[in-house]
Formats: sequence, C-alpha cells, structure tokens
Amino acid sequence: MNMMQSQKAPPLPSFNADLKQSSVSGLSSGAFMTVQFHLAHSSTLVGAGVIAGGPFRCAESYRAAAMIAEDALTLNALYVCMNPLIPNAAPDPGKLAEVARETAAKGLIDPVDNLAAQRLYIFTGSEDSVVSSSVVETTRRFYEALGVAAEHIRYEDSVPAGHSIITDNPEDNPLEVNRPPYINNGGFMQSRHILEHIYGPLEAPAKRTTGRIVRFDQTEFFGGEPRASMSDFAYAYVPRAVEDGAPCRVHIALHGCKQGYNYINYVNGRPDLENGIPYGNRYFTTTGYNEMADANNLVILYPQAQGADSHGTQNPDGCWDWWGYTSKGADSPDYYSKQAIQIKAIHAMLQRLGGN
Amino acid sequence: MFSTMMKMAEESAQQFAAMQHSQTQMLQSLMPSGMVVPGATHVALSPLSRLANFQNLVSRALTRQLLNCQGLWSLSFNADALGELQGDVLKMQAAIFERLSAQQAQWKAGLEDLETLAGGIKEVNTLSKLFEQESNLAARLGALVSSQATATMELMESVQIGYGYLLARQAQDTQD
Repeated sequence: MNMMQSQKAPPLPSFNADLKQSSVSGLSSGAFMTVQFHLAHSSTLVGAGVIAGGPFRCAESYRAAAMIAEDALTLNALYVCMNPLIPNAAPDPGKLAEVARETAAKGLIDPVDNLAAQRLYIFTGSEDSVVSSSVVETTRRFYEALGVAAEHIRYEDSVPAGHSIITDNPEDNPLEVNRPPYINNGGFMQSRHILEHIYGPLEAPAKRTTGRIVRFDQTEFFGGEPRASMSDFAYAYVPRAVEDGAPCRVHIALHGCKQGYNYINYVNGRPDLENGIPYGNRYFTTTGYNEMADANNLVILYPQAQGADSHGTQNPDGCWDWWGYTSKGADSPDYYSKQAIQIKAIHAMLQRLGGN
Repeated sequence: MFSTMMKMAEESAQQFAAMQHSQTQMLQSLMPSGMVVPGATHVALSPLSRLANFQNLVSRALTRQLLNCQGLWSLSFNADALGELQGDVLKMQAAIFERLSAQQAQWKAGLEDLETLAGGIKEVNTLSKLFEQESNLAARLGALVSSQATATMELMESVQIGYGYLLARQAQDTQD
C-alpha cells in the first residue's frame, strides 16, 4: 500500500441518503460477496443483484475435503461452489439456509426474517464456464428456503452469456465468451435490469450524465490492514442533484475478480508490472450503473478489492473474500459476518454516505 | 469384514498424516537455519521445500482417495443409498468424459495454432529476431503443455472432491 498516494485522496463525503433503501449487486466474487453482505446487513437493504454467484458460506459445504481447514475452504470454493462436475455436487441450499439461520441466531448477521420482503435479481449465463449455472440455481433455492417469495426473485438462466456482466457497449467482449474483463456485450444494460427489479420502475438512464465519479481514500475503512486485500482508493458515482442536497438512495456495486482498478496480471507467477491492464476502470465507468444513478438520484458505491499473493493472503486475482482468505484463522474463518474485515469496511462506507 | 476394511482405511489415513509429519520434521532438520518447510508455519522456496510441498499435496490427495473408498465401503451395504449414488456416479463419469473431450479439443486446437504460427514465420535478417521467433514458439508450446497439465490436475481434484462430497451427503442423508 502506498500511503503517499492515499494522502492525496479525499475522504468519502456524506449525502442526504436514506440508508434504509440501500441495495447491493455484484458479479462473480462480487456476487458471492453480495450474498454475504446482503445477509449480514439485511436490515439495511431492500434487495440484491447476484450475477454468477453462489449461496452463503458454500465454501464450508464439505469440511472433510482436506485435513487442513484452509485447504478445505479453497477446494470447496473451486470444486463445489464454482465448478462442480454435476449439479448434485453443487452446494446444498437447504443446509446452507440452516447455516444462515444458525449464524443469525448467534447475532453474527442480521435476522434472516428481514429477507422475506426483499427483491432478488439472480442471473447465470448459459455459457458460463467459470461459475456453473447449477451453482447459481442453488442461490435461488437458498433464498427461497429463507422465505423470499418466488415472485420477488427474478431468475434469469436462458441468456447465452459467458461469465460476465452484460452491457450494450460495442467495444465489450462478445456475449458468449469467458474472459477478462468479464464485461460482455449482450445488447442490454444488466445494471438497469438489476436496479429496476430491486426498486421498481425507474427513469430511463441519462443520455448525458451530470454527476461525477468521486475517488476516495478506502484505507480508513479497513485500517490499512494488508489481510483485507482492499485497494488504497475506491469510487462513488454521485449525481449532481445529490451533491446539491437532494435525497438519495445508495446502491453498492461490487466488481468481480480481475476487475479492480489496480488489478495486475500474473505472468509465470510474477506480477506483470510493465504491462498494466487497460480496463481497470471499466467496471465503475461503463457498466451502465452511473447513467441509471444520474436519472434516479442514486449514489453508486464501488468498493475496490486488490490482488495479493503472499503466504498470508492468497488472492492474486483481487477477488472479494468468500472462502476465508482474510480470516485470521482458517479453523473458524470469518469472512461472512458483520465483523468480517471486508464486510465491515463496506458497511462503514455505506454509513458514511448516509452521514452516520 | 466391513469393520476390518473401515479400520484399515482409518489406519491408512492416520499413517499418511504421521508420515507427512515425520517427513516435515526430517526436511526441517535438513534446512539451513531460518528456513521452514511447508506444513510448518511459513512457506520457504528452496527446491527441497517445494518437493516437500509436492509430497504433502500428493499424500493429501491419496488420503482423500482412501477416505472416499472408506465412504463408499460404508455405504455399500445400504441398497437405497447405493441406488441413489449409482445415478450420480454415472453422471459424474459422463461429466469427466465431457471435460476430457474438451481438453483434448483444446490440445488439438493449440497444436494447430502452433503449426500455423510456425508456418507463418518469415525469414528475418537479424539473429536476435530469429531467436525471438524461436523462443516464442517454444514458450507457446510450454504454455500449452502447462495448461493441459493444470487442467488435468484440476480435473483430478474435482473428481476427488466431487465423489467425496457426494458420499458425505449420501452418508448424512442416510443417517438423517
């Protein structure tokens, strides 16, 4: 972390935000984190958008995968939660719903009863080879098992998309591919579908935005701890009207692996520092959230994860933590509760936006 | 016989763990002071420690395999559980075949790609450019072999975890 750089970024400002109307969405690791954040803070949120993500704590499905807990979490993440060979080897939504209830009973996350009235957008591309559709289907069943009404869930699994958030930008990847930056052109803005499903009918996206992207110092929210695997800076899109004092709502948009602004590709096991990736700012600039925000007085918060590949933190792709790499100890990992370092940081950002 | 087999599998798993432990101890004693073998607290990068890491991972994979055998054996006298498992096993086999076919197709496409690249190499007028071209070909072949090997390892791990998880779920359902 570069403290000199951090000093140049101002702190995240506050606005006239109604935090009880907040929501969250994400792609891939951002989607797994979306589910975790949603469950941890369901009392604050009204809904969530999950693109290619699995259910809560699915990395703990099969502890006997390895003698060492850390290995078991990683193996579960890869072969149960992302790409199981057959649907029956995917996470068990009923059992995980039970785990969620137990976690809530311990006070580690908000009561799951809050979820019943929430609205969920859940998407899996039929060509996704990174996170299997059979896993995402268990996310839908997981929420249903927790009491979310079927009519509150918009579940899409028929679009022939690869692993990606879908846009209508001609320069994005073809729809069916599975490759970075995992932003594919499908002829529609998926962010609009997410926001409209969560909030109901909204104004059409602004053709010309009036607001600005605010870069802020993210380190204050995780105390600069390296194990957080979070970047120095994060971003928020703030419409002009909101900056002038209009009431607003907040939506948190979580990027996936390899999509943070300072993601560095590893070539033959070494960071390729000489060839920075050209798409680091695409998730928070071209995925369509900002245009919707501008027309509807939404602030979009874009927290940023960064890669780390040390013995302490094995996260070279800059993914959000859904298999325990930020935990202090793998035997009782905490990557999912209100106290988990990344969830706590994102929640603190949300509170700041509301002036708390 | 059933209990004997169970006992054997458990003992084998314990022996593997003990072997791993003693191997770590032995390698640790061979290390220069300050270096630590994997399985202890830090990862050191000496060839010896990488070898130890490899051996650890292989023995863990073997342990998983043994535990899977143990799990299968313990279900083998429950006709209902076996019946349900049989369907999953057939699906697993089909999925493995599908992945191997995809891998084979990638290998073929990679070789064709290399052939095209090699065929497209033009005469160059500096030694450095010639060396660069030849190195590119070698690197591409290396990357292809490496990705095939990685995919094979992933499939092996996936099969082990998949079977183990299915068996564990089946055993749990049988208990419930």
